[in-house]
Amino acid sequence: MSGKRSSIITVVLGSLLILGLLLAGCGPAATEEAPPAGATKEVAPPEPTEEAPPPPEEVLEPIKLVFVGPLTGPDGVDGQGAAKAAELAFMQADAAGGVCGGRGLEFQAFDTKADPKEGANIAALLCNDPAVFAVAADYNSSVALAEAPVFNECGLTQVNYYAAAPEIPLKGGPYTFRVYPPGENQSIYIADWLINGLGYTRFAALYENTDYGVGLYDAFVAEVERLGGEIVASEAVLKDQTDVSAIVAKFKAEDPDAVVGLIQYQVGAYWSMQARDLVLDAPLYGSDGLFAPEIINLAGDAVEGVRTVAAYTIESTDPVIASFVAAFNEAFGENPNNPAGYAYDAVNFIIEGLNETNCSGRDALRDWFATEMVDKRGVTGMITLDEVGERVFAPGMYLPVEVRDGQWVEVIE
Amino acid sequence: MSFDFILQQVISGVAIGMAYALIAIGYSMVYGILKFINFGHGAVYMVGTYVAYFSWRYLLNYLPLWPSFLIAVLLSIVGSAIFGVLMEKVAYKPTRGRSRLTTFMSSVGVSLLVTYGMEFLVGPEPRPVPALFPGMRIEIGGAIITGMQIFMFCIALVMLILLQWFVLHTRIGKAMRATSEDMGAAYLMGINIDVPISATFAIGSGLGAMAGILIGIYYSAVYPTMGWIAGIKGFIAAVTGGIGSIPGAMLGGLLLGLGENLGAGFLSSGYRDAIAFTVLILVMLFRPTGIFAREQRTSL
Repeated sequence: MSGKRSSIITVVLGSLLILGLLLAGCGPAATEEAPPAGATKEVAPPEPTEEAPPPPEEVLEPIKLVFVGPLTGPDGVDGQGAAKAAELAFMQADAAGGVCGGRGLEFQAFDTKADPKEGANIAALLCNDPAVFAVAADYNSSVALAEAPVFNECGLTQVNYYAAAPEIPLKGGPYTFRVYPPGENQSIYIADWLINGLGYTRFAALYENTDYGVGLYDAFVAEVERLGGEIVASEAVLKDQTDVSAIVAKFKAEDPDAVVGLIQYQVGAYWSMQARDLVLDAPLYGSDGLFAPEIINLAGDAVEGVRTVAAYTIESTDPVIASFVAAFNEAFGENPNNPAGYAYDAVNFIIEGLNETNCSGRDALRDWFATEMVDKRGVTGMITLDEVGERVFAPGMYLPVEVRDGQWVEVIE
Repeated sequence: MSFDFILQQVISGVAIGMAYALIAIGYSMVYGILKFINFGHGAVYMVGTYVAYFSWRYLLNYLPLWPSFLIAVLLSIVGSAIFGVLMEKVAYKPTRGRSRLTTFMSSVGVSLLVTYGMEFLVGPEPRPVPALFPGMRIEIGGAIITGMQIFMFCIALVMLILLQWFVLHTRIGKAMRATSEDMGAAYLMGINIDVPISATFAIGSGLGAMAGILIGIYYSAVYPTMGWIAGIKGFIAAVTGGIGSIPGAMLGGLLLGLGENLGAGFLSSGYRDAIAFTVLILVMLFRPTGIFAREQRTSL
């Protein structure tokens, strides 16, 4: 008997151990772009960044416009939309004759799989590439924060296009910028909308257990308390969680005025379906992670009335937005998603910076971002970066949107 | 915590627990015969769900909801059974007679290959699944049972009972039990052991596909990595109940479903999967042969 027992234990625990080792080992090795493990160290000695471009007579090597973000995995759909927009910005600049008076351009997109380890590896690889002056990175806050030390070490400008966690440019360093408004602005905007605009006071909050969700949640709680509201229940969810029924039941018992979801669209879709099944009537308001056409494909009728904020809608009549949407449609045969607008802006400002600094080097480009990014018009509105490289809050930065008749449209109240 | 809340968690736990039990069978039966943990089972579960998903989507263009669903389920079960048998022939049979570790490693390889192969083929995005009982629900006090939960429970229960009958009362079931008892002796008694082994993989894979379909509809989500965590849950249910036992798999699945949902309700939903692993560790420590531990393994 005891022999049988111990052999079962051995097999089961041994199997689990091996599986764990395999999974741990497999992650990084699976990427195509993963550089050799030593790459990070090679970067350590600060490269002389002013190493002047070769003499003007020679044909100059094209400059690489680089996009880094999640192209596969749970954020793959969102990330690919952003990557396409980055590519669109490249295609337009390339068609217009390149940068700095005829220097050619190349485009590269790297897949982080939303994994910070991957991001750090890609950053090290890019540091060693003299054709790269600045990088549009990243989509995920956790990944952006893992890449920042590497980029700052080698003096490569990092332009965040969708990472929302608080203080990313400040924590990141002097080479880290962000054209995406800091996530806490959204939380403040939504809290104000719910309490001052709609007169709600009791909220149940659902947040993704990542830098994105936790950062937005903390800001939301602080703002709700400041405005005199009350958080009656709150729960963290995993990024890829499909079963949220326990949370629905828990929130239902507290009878909140509204549920606030600081989450991505997948969890938003599962939440809406399970809330409908368990008859939780409180409306779902959430962060811009919800703003994706996929949420409607996934959850259909269940997401009718879900509300969030967006940078723009595809129906916009604003000429800058309309021409971006039209060009995107022409290039890829689909509508751009929310991250696409920010990624497009990020790459366009990198191109503008290259032109303004005459492609004279990585540091010149960083200085341009630090001083010249004032009142620049992008698809996502007027953009000004402050002294640490953070996008300054401006009225009209957010557009309240909701799902009505199976479409994301502007809220009319 | 109100009574309604607890009742609600129990309902959700029982429904999902029965689906875990169906997954657990696949681990349990294979372990019973070949004494190794088939980590490829989660991949079979995922493939079966995709087969049902795509065929259902296609058939819905021509047939009403239920007929198309039934045909899709049949296709998926048959397809998965074939897939499971092929998996055994290609990846496991050549390792028979060598260390069990070799077979186990091979199964991890199968799982990764199939999962990422599927991700490459169909893309990573989750896909929505049509509802079978839109809007149907029964209220008991403040708690709610949905039509899908009742359906899931009944289908799983019927399949488990049929399986138990099959294993105890048919010729091939007897051959499976004999092979699981002592493969060498069964062979000497004239049983072609390839037959019960193939039958085991076919049945385990078919039930796994059924579980995948039920869970896919329940959450309205099909995605390539769905087999990972579901496979681990099924495995935990199998170990908890006593690996090799059909009633054990059912009990293990129910306990896991209840534990997860009550734990998620009383602690936090973020601990859901952590609770499942805690259950596994506790069982391994205090009752390593499972709750339905038997002195002799009579059934699969």
